[in-house]
Amino acid sequence: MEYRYASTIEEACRLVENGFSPIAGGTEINLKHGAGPLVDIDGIGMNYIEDRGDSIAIGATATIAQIERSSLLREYNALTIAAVGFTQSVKHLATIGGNIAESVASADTAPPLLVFDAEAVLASLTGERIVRVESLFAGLRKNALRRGEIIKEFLLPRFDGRSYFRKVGRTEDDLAVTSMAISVSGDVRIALGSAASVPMRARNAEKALSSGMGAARDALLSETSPRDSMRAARDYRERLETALLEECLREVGL
Amino acid sequence: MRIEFEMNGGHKVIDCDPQKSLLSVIREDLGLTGTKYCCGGGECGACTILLDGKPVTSCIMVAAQANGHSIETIEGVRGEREFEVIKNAFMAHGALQCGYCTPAFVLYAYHILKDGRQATREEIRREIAGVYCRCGSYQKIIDAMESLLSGGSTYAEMPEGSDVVGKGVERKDYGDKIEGRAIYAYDLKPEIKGREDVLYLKFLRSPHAFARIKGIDTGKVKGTVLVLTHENVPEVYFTTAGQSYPEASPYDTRLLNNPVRYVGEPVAIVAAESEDEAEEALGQISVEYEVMKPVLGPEEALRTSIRIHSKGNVVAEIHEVVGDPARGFEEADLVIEREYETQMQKHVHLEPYASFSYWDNDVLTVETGSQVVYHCRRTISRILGLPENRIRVFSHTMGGGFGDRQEMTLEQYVAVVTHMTGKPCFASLTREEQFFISRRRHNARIRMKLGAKKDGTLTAMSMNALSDTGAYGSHGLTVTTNMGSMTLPLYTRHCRNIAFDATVVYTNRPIAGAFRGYGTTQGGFALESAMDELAEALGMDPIDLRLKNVIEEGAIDPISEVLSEGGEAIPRRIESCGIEEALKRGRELFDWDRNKGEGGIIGVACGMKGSGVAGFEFANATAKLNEDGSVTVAIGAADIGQGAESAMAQIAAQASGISFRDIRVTSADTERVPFDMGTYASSVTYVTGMAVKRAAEDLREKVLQRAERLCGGRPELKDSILGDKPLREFAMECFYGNDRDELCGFGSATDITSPPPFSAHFVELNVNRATGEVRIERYLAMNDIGKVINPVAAEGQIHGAILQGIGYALFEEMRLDENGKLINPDLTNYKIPSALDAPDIENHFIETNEPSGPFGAKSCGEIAFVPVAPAIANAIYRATGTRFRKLPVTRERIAMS
Repeated sequence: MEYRYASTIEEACRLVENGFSPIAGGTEINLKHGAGPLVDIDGIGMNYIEDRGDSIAIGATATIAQIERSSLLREYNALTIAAVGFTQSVKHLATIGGNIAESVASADTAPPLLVFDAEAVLASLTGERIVRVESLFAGLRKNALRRGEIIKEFLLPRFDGRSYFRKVGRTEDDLAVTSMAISVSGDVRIALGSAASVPMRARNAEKALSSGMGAARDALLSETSPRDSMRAARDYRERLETALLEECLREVGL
Repeated sequence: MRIEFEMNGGHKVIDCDPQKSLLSVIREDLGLTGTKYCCGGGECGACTILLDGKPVTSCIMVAAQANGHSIETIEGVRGEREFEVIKNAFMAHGALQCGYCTPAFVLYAYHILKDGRQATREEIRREIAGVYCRCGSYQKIIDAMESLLSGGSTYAEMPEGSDVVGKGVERKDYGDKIEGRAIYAYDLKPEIKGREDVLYLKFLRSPHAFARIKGIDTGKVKGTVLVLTHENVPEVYFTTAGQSYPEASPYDTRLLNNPVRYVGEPVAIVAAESEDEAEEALGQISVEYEVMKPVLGPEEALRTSIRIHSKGNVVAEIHEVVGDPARGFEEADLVIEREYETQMQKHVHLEPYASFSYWDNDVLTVETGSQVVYHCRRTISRILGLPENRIRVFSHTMGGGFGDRQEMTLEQYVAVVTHMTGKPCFASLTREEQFFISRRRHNARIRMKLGAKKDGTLTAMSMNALSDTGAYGSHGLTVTTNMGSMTLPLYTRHCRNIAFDATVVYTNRPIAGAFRGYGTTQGGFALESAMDELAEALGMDPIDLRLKNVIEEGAIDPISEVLSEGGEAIPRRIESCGIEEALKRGRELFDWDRNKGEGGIIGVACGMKGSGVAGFEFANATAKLNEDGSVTVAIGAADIGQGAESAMAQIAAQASGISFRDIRVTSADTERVPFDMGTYASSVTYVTGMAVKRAAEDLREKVLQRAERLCGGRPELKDSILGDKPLREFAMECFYGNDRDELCGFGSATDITSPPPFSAHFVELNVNRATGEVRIERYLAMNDIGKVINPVAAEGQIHGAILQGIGYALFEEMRLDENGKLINPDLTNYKIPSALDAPDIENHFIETNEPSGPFGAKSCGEIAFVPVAPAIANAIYRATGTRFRKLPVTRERIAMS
């Protein structure tokens, strides 16, 4: 099976355009049988975390372990908590780009990126475009990247408020059955994992907060649609959503 | 594709499929077997390597990802300066058991040390949570790493000489395991790679839970591939259970059966010159099934007219009565009746099965990882019609067993291929195959009825169990017998009215078998939960209720007078009993009464088990003096990671006066060691240990007699010094002096009464009622295992049993879909406890002296499993007000209660 190494973004984009799938940590793609031809994007130099003044940029191939320890991300509590709690055995391999590009509902880095209103810089042979991370999730294991596009980096706008992340799995070291991130900086933003087919912002719940907890809970339950699966039943996931909402609000002092 | 990387200080260039798993490259192409295969899904961490200095799971990396990078494996790290201190710390803390995960943990330790970071205990716990240890050594691994990071001395004083029983000597297997040198059966695959004569075996598995095979078309299979089906394997019925003869399990299976009775059952086996070729051949076989309606639950098995086996669905029934239960319940002031249910649990020993067979001249040799090599040999002899002296079965170091290896899983298949073809044959299971094909714990539905006086005196007990042995009856009768016979005697101080009824049924579920606890886990959950419910109904403290009723030293176990594990009943007198002290001291240490008064979320439960199987277990040992004064002890039992060989060496040293370091134990090889029933029923320390003690005493006596004959007086033998001379001089003289004599001690032991070890465990929880999360805040384990031979190793076993019990209590469950197919056959969906699920356990041994055991020892392996689930469930009741009578008590069930 074919495997190429890209040394520039252009080279990666060209191969992706020709049907190659990008691979960085490989922790998701290597579990799929017959992944097809792969282009290794680990050597492009996209594993940075840097201060851009009005935002922090996280390169797509920065690993979860890098994010966990980055001093630049200290203000982004929700993201670093998610990184700390990431499945331990793969956190030195798994990259934030892969975690988002896979577009799975339980991706732990997704809810934090959503509450920080992060943007993704997408690169292709025709140039770059910037989209909101939220718009990248097209469906379960289906991202909104166009043919020939790869994620180059994420831009997290300056943030100096409070934030928190909390997940519940079946055990301490498990995929999220339900996860939630919250941020407060002027406005309150709430995002969830495993509450719909893709990670989502809970905008109705955010709005309803001003009318009290009851209203926020109701709004949250009506805008999420968690699924019944082997890992958890829908009603339990809904129970967790409201439990996590209360806990997250408490943690950020609301 | 050409791939280049730095590895362990050298430059490697390999040419391979770029998308081949990096783990396979390391193990099979480069032959470095210290990096282990376990789950193949990046969940367990056994395959951890350091990539550019960082710990990563190599099983989900492809070879090409290594290009241009630097890799370190245990084979490289063991040559580094830091390794010695890591090794010392792991040894000093006893931070390993079977050793399969150990290289991975060593790499984590090395990574943290190299990083120069400081880390708290909780940070270390999180850091190492990427590696599973099914033996449950997390606490000791964290202890070891804490001592490493604190920069203190990691070197523990190791006892020398022959006076070693009761001391935490350095286990003899530690070195090889920490260095990644120990060879497991799974490691034979890389070892035999490149040999052209070897056939590789693969299974074609049934997609149906119950189906008649109408035809198998193998016509499309290309190449020189051997295909075996039910039509051309020997027409011999046997049981895969490794039990004493005649087995208490029915002879209800052939090598390949028609009909097939569970999803995953082998329908055909193929043996080809490569694994790929075998795999390809599987796809070329077409099978025509007549799919039948499966029976997927034990209740249904009783009701239905569908017969899973021609003799019907009932494998065995037990109806035993002591005294007059009806009158006992009449005499009671209060009677409670409750029903409990337990689930199918999987062993998940981290090393999956592998077996390798070949002709060694005219001896059919099977290299494997078995707890029962002699039982294996007997059954293979039966299947193939070969005399036992032309079959050799031996075990390599085993990556955990927990009962799953008290069973033939692959041995019979590779043996038949070698027998038919004359060629060597290797088989190994992937994790998924392991989930489908190997055994699991019997699920059971147990109705408990307890009658008591107002003061808590039990007047009658009744247990009624329905136990599900799955598609074949392996261990069905005996596991189910233990549900009552090994639990109910605990509360017979006054109660002499006992009824125990049980039915064991076939279903079209995966085959059940032996699993640590062996029935006492199911029965114990029911009994100990019911005792808690009774205490509440009586308005009594649950410890007081137990103290009122627990059995005492000197008592005759009333159930032993009517029931045994598949043989004649043998009345047993309890000669050593620490349960009362365990409860009393535990109550104090736990500050139970204050804690309860303050509304603490606390629970208690007790347990008992046996030491071997009464009337059956039979072990033999030899202790042979070598020319240089060293001694080789040979035993037929196997070391499955618990440290049996070292415990035997300690017993031999203490009994002979020969230093521990001069004794080597060799085990589990039908060609080289004397007969032993095997490693099960927690029998090794107790039964094999007694045989070793007698062999060592016999050797000592022979040494002293000879010395007396030659020199007149009878000298002392201690610490390998005979009189005033090193034993070595004496030994040389035996072989090369004028009056030559080879000195070899022989010892034999039969288990008469299977004296029970006891336990009382106390747990304090924090339960998040909204999410259902349970955090174990405190775990106190009081265990009476008689005299403790090696406190460090024994504590490791206690920790492991408790951790498996925590998984059993809270989340482990094999789940089937409506067609009977296992839906969670991997470690992503069948979770086992990680370091994050592991509390720091406070373990105390209540040392008693069992007169029938070696130096007073009883058994240790299983006892600590029994009380875990009921203690936790009892505590969860205090938090939630809900009685969880069904395991596992998952987060989901707690939150939704």
